[in-house]
Amino acid sequence: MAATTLNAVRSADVGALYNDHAHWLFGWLRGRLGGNNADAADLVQDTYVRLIDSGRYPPPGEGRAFLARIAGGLVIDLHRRRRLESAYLEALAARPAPAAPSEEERALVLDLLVRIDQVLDRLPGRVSQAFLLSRFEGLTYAAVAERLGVSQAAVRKYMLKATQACLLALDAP
Amino acid sequence: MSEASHSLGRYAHRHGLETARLEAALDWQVSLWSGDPDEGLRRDWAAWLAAHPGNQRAWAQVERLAGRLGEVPQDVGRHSLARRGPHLGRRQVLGALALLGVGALTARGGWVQRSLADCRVGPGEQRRLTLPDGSGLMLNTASAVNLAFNGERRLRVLPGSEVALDSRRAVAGPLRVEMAERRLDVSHGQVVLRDYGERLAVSVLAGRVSVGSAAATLGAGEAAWLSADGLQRFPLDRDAALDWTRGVLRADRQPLGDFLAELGRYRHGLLYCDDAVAGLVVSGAFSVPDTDYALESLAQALPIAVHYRTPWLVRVSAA
Repeated sequence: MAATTLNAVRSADVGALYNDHAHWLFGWLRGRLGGNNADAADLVQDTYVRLIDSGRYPPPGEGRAFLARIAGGLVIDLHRRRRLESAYLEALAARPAPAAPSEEERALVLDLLVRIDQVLDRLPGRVSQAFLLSRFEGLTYAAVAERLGVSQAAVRKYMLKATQACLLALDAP
Repeated sequence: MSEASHSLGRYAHRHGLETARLEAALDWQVSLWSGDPDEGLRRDWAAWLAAHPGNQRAWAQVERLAGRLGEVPQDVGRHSLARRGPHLGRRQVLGALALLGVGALTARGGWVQRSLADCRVGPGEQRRLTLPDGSGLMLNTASAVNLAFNGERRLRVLPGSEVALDSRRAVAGPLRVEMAERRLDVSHGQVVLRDYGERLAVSVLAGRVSVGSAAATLGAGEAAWLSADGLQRFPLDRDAALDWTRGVLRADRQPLGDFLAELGRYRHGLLYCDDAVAGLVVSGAFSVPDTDYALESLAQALPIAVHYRTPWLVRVSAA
């Protein structure tokens, strides 16, 4: 659907969208979340919050497709966050001297992880690999080049691409 | 103009920077990350930086990014982000994730890292389980334990966790608990343990706990902080220690900021309040499974407003 047909959200419209489709959306999400009612209910709420935040409103008759697209993104995000959170906790637990960052610190790091992960997902495999090897494995570009079987100049190009993508993505509020 | 450089142009504009200088700053950062100790490079970079205030502004922005990337500890980034195959598309990665969830059954240091012997609950969840020796264990929100019960009886409580252990009906002698590098031996006891990071709280409701590192014993009705400073006893409030096991979070003339920090443990994401309201006094009992309802109740009782910025980011401000 064309973005140009979207209008500003009005609260009455959100109310109507909720009444007409929330129940359907719940079932739709439930099907994609392995029948988990609690997660489905959370994401129904999140979908409408996201809709309101976006300030955009679907044209008549396209409400469900529009909501499903938002909700589909949220399902991916939920899986991503769960995966990252459990990996994060594992990494903390695996430390020789276990440290327990504060809840706030954990939330901030997790948010950062989610955003970096989203960026890396959108980049070609080698670009994200190079970035991870350099930034989180601490490898030199020479070592990254060897690991990926490419030239150092290519690694440098990948790094530029990934760093620029991070700069843009981490800027969003 | 490509999509990427177009976006970079918009970014530069938004931050009052010149696109070319921002591109140069990114280029310098990428060069400086190469890992080759190159004195000439650093000198050239310093000269570029000094050459124009616009370069300094552009660099500040890139440096901020580098700082944020640095906020993710290397081991964490490696472990959590690196779980992507080198040539997998996203669809394949999503498929592979389901497998990862149950995989990695590798014994490390004697502990089976991910298996049925482990128990982990996420924010807002609690779980009760019965250990092989008949002890009861309850995990509070965002907590995890490893169990070792093959020939030995050990329980490892992972960082940041809170658990209630009841070994009064256990079949054998003391149960070894490992927590934040400390060893606690719980003998037919009912204890609540919480890892606050820099210190542990040990509350003994029944039985006896001997603390290896402090060579001390806590008896029924005793509680203590364990930290680098040693063992410091505090008066045990039996009801308060067990509140969470009943799904209750109680505040008794507690500053709002502290209360929200506690409530936030039961939610995904970040719950925070403005300094202006952090000192407001909270009293009452709240049901922790429903933290949204708790926030709503607070907003009715206090001159505050609750803003759901995103589901993960909730801010409490003055009304």
